[in-house]
Amino acid sequence: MEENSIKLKRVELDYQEAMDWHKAKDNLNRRLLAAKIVEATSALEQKINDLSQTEGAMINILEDSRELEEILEKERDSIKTVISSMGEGLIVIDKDYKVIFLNPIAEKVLETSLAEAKGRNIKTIAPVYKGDQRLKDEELPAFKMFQTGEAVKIELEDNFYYQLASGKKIPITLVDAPLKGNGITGAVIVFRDITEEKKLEEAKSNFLSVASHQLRTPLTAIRWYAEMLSAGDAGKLKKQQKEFVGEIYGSVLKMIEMINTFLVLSRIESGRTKNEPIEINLAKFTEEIIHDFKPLIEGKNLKVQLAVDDNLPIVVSDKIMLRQVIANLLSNGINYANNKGEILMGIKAKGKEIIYSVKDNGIGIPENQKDKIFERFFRAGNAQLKVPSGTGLGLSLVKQVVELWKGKIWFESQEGKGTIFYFTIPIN
Amino acid sequence: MKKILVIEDEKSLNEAIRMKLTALGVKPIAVTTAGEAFKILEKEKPDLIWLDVLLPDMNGIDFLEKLRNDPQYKDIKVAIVSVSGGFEAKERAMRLGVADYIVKSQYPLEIIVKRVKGLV
Repeated sequence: MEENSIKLKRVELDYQEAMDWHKAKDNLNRRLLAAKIVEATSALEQKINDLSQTEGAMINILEDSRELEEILEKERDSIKTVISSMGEGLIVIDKDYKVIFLNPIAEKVLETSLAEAKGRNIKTIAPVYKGDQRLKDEELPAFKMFQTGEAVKIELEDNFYYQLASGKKIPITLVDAPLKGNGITGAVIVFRDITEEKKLEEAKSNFLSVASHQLRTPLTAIRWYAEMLSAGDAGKLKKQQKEFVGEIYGSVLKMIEMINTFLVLSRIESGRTKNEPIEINLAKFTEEIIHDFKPLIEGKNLKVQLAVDDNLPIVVSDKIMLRQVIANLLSNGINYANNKGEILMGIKAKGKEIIYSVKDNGIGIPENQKDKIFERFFRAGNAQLKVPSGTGLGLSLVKQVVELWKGKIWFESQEGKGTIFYFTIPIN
Repeated sequence: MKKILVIEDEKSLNEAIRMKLTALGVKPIAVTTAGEAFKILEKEKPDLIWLDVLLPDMNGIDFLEKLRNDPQYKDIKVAIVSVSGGFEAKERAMRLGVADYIVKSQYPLEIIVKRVKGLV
């Protein structure tokens, strides 16, 4: 009995102990749960906080992008306005020469519409001509631009035309620039219809040709007949008659000289004389010019010598311009040299340039007039006395031409002793 | 006596050249067009042709080229005497074997005539 009571007591105790353990465990679990809830709540609050911040940021971004879109739209509108109101035609093509875009001027000049032209090859819409020759594919400005990645510019004197479907040929100038995305994706062609400029240019060119031929021919007749009269070919002249003929002769020479120089100056100023460098053997080139002046050289009993450096490089320069410069300086040398005088022409290579010199032992340039010598129409006092028919245009022309090829020109002179003119030709 | 066929369309210049050549003891045959020159060449063989470039019926350089392509006339000496010293015309003339190229407004007639006479 007592044994049973002890057993019962133990069972009660074990039960009590188990209950206590369970209570403690429950307690612990509850605390853990509470802690977890607190933690989760805090994380949740943090997330809600983050979310609200993100929402704020999103709203800001949306507002910014709306503003950006507005700015872009405004810019798009202004670009559209510029493109449609610009005086030049605008063509955008892809790499296969297919038209992507034409502005209204391009539509008008090319006698087509964007809807009609889009996707068609520009080479069939407006084939390009240089003068009367249709350009081959590899000669097209766009082809050159695609090859080099550099913009190609075609100017008035290049003589380019677009031929339209109607057969009409439109003279143009243009710039072909690369359209860059991932590499060159196409071309932007900005062109101008230069029909009016071309007409003016032709009128000017006709005038120049009329001036050169129609004026020089009668002037040559006046010159030759004055010479024949003066020489007594039509009978011996009295002293005063001879003087009068001499006046006619001097004036006609001056007119011929002026016309020649004006023609060259106007060609340079209008850009008709272009610097087109080619390889030139300077010594041979100079000898040819001296040969042309032989009658005048012999007429004054002058000696002309040419001193050329050994191993002179072949220079690359424009023949017409170079001839103009050398002939002018040589002609001055001949004009201002004393009878039986000497002209020494020298060609030297120094560093990256050729130094060309023309030396005479003539009248020289007075000290107080040296600073004006390259001014147009200026003539030194002693030069006016020696050669009354001079125009004062030659040296200004020479300076302009030398500077066109980026050379320098200067002189050394002593009145009564002579002058040396120097000019340089850059060696490339 | 040497014979020079002068082709110069400007009558006053043509006359002056004819007179000067005669004075220097040369026989000038003076014409004003390329067409007349070809007719003369059918019956005469000049020692030299004095040729202007800007002619009414044909460019002087084209005339020269035509001569050079004709076995009958290809060896005739030609001196061009023109008002313009155009670089391209001059180069083309030189390639076609011209004996001299003179810009006529640049020189006294006496000098030009002596220079041309010196070629025959």
